[in-house]
Amino acid sequence: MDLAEAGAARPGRAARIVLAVACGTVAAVVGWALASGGAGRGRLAADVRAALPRSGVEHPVTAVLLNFRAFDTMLELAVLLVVAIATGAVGGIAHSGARPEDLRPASPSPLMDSLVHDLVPFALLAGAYLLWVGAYAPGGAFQAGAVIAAAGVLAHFSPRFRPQVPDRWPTRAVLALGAGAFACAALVALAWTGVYLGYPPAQAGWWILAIEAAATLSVAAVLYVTFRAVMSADPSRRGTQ
Amino acid sequence: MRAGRRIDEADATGMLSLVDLLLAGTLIAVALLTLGVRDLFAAVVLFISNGLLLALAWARLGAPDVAMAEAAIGAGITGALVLAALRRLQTFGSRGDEMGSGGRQGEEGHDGPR
Amino acid sequence: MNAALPFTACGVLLFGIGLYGALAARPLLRRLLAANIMGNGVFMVLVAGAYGPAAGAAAPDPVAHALVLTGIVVAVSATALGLHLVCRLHELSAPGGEPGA
Repeated sequence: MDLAEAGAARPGRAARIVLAVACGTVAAVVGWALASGGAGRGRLAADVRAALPRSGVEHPVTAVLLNFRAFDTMLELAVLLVVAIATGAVGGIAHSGARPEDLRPASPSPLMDSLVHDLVPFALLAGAYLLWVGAYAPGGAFQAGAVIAAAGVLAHFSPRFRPQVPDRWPTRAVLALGAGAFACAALVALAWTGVYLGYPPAQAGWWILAIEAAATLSVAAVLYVTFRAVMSADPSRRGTQ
Repeated sequence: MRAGRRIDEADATGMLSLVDLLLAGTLIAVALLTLGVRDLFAAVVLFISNGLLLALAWARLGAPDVAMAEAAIGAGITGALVLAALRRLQTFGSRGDEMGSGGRQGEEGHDGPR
Repeated sequence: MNAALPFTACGVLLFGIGLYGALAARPLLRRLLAANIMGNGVFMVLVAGAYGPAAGAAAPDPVAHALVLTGIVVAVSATALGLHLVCRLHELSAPGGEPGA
């Protein structure tokens, strides 16, 4: 029996109704809990606004992400790295970047070539701008990384501009750059100010910009490499195609 | 911050304006359709639309960073990933109507997500 | 809380719909989509709770926005891993491939 279809028969009508009622009950309980709670909301916004001058940036969400709750962001970058490894994008598990199936051109397409040639530079510029403006206005490392990854996905479909990501150390270095830079910054800050992830307030803006730049590269690389891993097929299967 | 303040000034009386109700209703409808349609490709496209509508909802709720991230990551990257997976699942021959109905063969089906 | 009520209710409903889909839908891909919809519901509840006029503050709560931002990125990573696993499962159990493994 096909593992992906294990239990492939849909649950019977009775089971589905029971499930629907159960999920409705869960949703109702959650809704009731939300409606009856909620005291003390809104204090955090005032606290963040009060601490904003000390954080090194002017945008509260960036300050929270990269300074006040920097530990969570560091772990998030580590999660991205773990996913890049687990999808076999590195470590040569199954789908490294340069294999015959990937080098085969999608289909020679002058339309895609010209689209990529004209659009990708603007996308990269937009990503760089989003990274820079994150300190003053909505933006930041994750949005910039996602835009650059989207540019990579677009370039993937043009045979002339498809990015080559061989499974060698430069690729791995870029993938690990985000979490690694964050961890290094945390340890350096520990040595400097005695507080783990406590940036010196006078230069906090530059620290945050450096960490965000590393995070942008890392996020873009992980997203594109994971997309590539999901796109490519397993060469060891027999039979179809 | 500026965008959030503009949005807040626009509806000082709260959120119960027609646009918000329509947006919330459409989100629910699209979510139901995503899980209800037979064709998996249609479900994936509806999921991407869900992501974009969600980005609109974040904009209405005064969360521009989240809106940008949702549009780029939630709709864009997740959409590309799911479409890639769908293509890979369907390349292995139709495994009954659950995977392959309305099957998009070959590379052309993939020039969708730009 | 009353000011953002449509979106809080929408979030709870999305959570319920996603939960049902994650349990009852049959193609694995659709269950992944349903799990994502569940996550979207949770994010909506968080951001609607952080809405400015709802909490009586002038500006929305940035900590909730940061949490949701982190959540979106982690959700895409989990979805990517899940998709990869679904594809590998499908390939490994295709006739002619190695069963199980």
